[in-house]
Amino acid sequence: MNNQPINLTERLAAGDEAAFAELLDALGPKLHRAARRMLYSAAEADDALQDCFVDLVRGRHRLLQVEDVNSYVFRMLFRATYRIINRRTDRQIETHELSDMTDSRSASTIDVIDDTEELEFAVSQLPHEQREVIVLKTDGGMTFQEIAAFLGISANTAASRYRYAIDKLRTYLVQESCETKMNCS
Amino acid sequence: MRNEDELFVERQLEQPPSMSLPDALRDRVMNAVQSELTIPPRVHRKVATNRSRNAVLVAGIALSIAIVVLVFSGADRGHRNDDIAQSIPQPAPSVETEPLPTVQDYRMALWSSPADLDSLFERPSFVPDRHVNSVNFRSKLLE
Repeated sequence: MNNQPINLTERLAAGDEAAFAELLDALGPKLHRAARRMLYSAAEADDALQDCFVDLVRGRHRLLQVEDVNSYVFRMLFRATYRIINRRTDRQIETHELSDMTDSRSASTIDVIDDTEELEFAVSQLPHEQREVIVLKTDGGMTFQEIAAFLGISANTAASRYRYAIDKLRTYLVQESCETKMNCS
Repeated sequence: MRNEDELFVERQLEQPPSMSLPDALRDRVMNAVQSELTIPPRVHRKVATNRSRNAVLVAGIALSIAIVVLVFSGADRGHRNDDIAQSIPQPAPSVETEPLPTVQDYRMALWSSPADLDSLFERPSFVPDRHVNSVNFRSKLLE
């Protein structure tokens, strides 16, 4: 009689180290980028990723009841990032927002984004609730319905937060592009 | 309708991340996972059990103390008025003194026998003029 776990979730729940390595290899890059977008700090993103996996190991017996492992892992990551944010003494990075970037250069196109760090910085400056949606949509690969369930909001709210965030990012990047090329009217 | 810039931003955001984590970070995370896996799950459960047991113990002690306080305060309530009454300093019982002699007493003494007059002077509260005594009292009064 073969009692060996057959899928990744069961192996994780059984404490199989190789299963955690597989999970880390599969989701690690996305999780790490999501943490960087949430925290805008590579060192803190490293901490968040480690905390996320430690939490997964500690709560591995719950994995058997989890329907969507991807969502569950992102939830663990978000908790880790929230803990780090709460530990911060300097909250200036949390208070900056792009909401005041409302100049009217929307007709311009973004000519140059050769530095992805610029985009990551812009994401990190979004209001927290918009950043969550951006991260879950782009890194978590979730639909608005899944994001709504994840955050406990309506799908319409999730979608509108996403649209507002994209608009702010576009405005910011257009402005940066104009400042770089000095060709905006 | 989304414009070209918005689509561009979305595409940039959805660019796949690097294919793998840096080795140092991967090793760090896996070391943490290994360390955590070496702790048997029952230890976690035991810690949790001990925590909940301690919580129940503390709650039980607190409840017991509360019950004892309530019981004693309730039992004591019947005697509380007495206690309060006892705790209030009562005036010392006054020494029963004879009433001060009144004018009527003097008048009676004036017409009474010398023995009655002497008894009047023997009263502790009776403080006559130092020149007055039981002998000359009658004459002084008649002066």
